[in-house]
Amino acid sequence: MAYLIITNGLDKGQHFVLSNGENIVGRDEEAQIHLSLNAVNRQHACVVVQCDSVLIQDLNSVNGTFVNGERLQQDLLLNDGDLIQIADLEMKFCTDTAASESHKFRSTSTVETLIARSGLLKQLREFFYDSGFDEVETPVLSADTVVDRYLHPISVEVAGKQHWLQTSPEFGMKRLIASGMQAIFQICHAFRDEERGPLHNLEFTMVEWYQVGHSTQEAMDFLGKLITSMLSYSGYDTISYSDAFQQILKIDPLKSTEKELINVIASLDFEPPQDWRGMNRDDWLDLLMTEFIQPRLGFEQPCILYDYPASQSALARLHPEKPLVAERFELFVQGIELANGYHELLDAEQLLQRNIKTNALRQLDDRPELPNDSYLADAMRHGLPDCCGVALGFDRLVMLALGKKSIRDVIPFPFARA
Amino acid sequence: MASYKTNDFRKGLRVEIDNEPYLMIEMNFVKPGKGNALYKCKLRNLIRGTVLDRTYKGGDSLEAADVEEIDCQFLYRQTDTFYFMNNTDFDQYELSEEQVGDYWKYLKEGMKCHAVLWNGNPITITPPNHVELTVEFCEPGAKGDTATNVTKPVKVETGAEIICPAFIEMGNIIKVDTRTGDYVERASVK
Repeated sequence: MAYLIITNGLDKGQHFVLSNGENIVGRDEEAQIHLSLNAVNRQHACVVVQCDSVLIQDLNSVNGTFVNGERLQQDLLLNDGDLIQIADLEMKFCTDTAASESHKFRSTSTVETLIARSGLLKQLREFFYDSGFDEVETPVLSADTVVDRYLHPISVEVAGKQHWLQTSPEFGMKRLIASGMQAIFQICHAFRDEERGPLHNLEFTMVEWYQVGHSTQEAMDFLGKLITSMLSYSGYDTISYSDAFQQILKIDPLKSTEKELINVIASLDFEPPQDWRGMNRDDWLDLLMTEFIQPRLGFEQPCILYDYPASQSALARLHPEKPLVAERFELFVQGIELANGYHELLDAEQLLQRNIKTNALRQLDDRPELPNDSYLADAMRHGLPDCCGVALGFDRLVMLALGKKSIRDVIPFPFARA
Repeated sequence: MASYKTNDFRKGLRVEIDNEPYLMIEMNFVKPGKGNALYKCKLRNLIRGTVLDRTYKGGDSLEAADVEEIDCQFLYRQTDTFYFMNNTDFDQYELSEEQVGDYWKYLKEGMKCHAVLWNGNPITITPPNHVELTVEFCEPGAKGDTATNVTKPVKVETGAEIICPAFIEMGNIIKVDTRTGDYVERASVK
C-alpha cells in the first residue's frame, strides 16, 4: 500500500491511498487526488503504481511538479518519504502503512467545517424553540423497529433478546405524541445498514419533528419555512409527484402499468438492472424518480414533491379524497433528497396489514423478518392524535449549506473510521 | 466459487461476468430514502480493455474472479509464441502473438514485465512504460538535419519500426514510450 499525505496547509494530514495503475493528481473533479487549488492544472501530474514500484510523471503542468525541491523533467521513481510539491501544497509519499494509519485518528472533515456544522445545529434548534417545539430524546436502541422493505436495521442482542438500532426515531416520537406531547423535535443519530456513498453513511444525523393538529399543507409550509431560513432562499416550489412525472417524462405515474414504465426506461439513456427478480411497479417508479426526476428538482429554489402514490405510503395515511395517493411529501434541494413527511397513519389495523405485506416482500428478498407488532401499534390502538411528522437528513443539510460534495466532508468520522 | 453481494461492491473489485474477468473501476451508490439501492458500476474487461456500464440493485451479487498481478520477465520468442517466466515461482507462460498485441515491438530478452493472471493463466502482459532499444538499421539523415520535426522510420533490435527524428543513426540507443509507441529521446550514441 502506498499513500500521499498532505503535510502543510489547512488539509494537513489528509491522505490519499494510491490504487494500482494511474492516479491523476489535479483540479479535475474526477482526479483521484483532487486538489482544489487554482495553481493546479486539471490534470497536473500522474502517479503510476505498478507492482512494487511507484512512478510520478508531470502532465505538462503550467506550474510544475517538484520532488524533493527539484522540478520534474522526466518520470521519476518515488521512494518512501519523498516530498512532492505542487503549487503551495506539500505531500509526502509514504509506503509504510503504519505511518499513514497513524493519521486515521483524524476527522475527514476540516475544523472550519465542524465549527460551521455546530453553528447550523444551533440555528436549527433555535428555529424549533422559536416555533414552540419541545426537544425530546427517544431510545436509539429499541425492541421495536420500522418495517420497510428497503431499510435494513442493525440488530443488536441484549440480554438474549433482539433489539435494533433505530433507522429513524419515528416510533419513539409517536409514542410521545400518543402520551400527550403536542409539538416535538429531535436531533439524533439513526442507523441504516448497507448505506454508504457520497450521500450516505451507515450512521447519520436525523432531524425529526411532529406537530399535533397540522394538516399536510401546514406541515409542508413549515418545512418550506425551515429550509428557506436554514439555506437562505427567498422561497420554495411545490409540485405533485404526478405533475413532476408528467412534465419531465410525459407519463402518469399513478395509472401507468408496470409494462409501460419499463418501456419508458428502455427509451431513456440508462442501463437498468439486468436481474428483474423481485422488482415491482414501485421499484421502476423509484428508478425513474432517482435517475430522471430527482436530478432536476430544487435547483432554483427548494422543491417539495407531494401526493406520493398510495403504494409508497409507508407510514402516511391515504388521501381521503384521492384514492391513488397518500399524504406523503418529500423535499429536494439541488437534486438531493433532503426530507420526507407524512400526515401520519393513525389506524393500528392498517399498520399491521402494511407490515405483514412488507415482511412478505422482505422474505422474497431474503431479508430477515421484522416484528409486525410494536409499542407504536399499542399507542395507535390507544389513540394517536391526528398529526404530521417530518424527518430531515442533517448531514445533507450541512453539505448544501457549505457547498460540500460528500458526506465525509461534513461528519467527523465516517463509518470506515468510526 | 466465491461471490460478492452488493454490500461488498467497491472500486478495485475483480469479478466475473459472462465468463470474463472484469475490474470494477467505478461504483456509485444511489438510494432513495424509501426505495431499493442501485449500484451503478463501470467495469473494465481485463482481457479486452473495454468498459461496461452495469446497474445492480441491492441484494444482487457477482462472482469473484481469481485474478492476480505479478512481476515476470520476457524469456524469448519462437515464431508466433512468446515465453515469459513468473519471477516468484518461476512458472513459465506461453502467449500468442494476438495476446501480446503491439507490445512485441518492445520485448527484449530478460525484460521485466507486469502480468495479470486469471485462473492462473496470463491474460495481459505489460512492458515497462519506457524501454531502451538499439537502432539496427536506418537511412542516414541528410546533413544538417538536427531539427526534431523531421522524422524517419528506423528499425530496432526487436524488428519493429519506430518513427524517430532524422538525426538518429544506426547503433544509437533510443528511449520509446510503450503506451504510445512514440520516440522519447536518444539514450546514448554508440
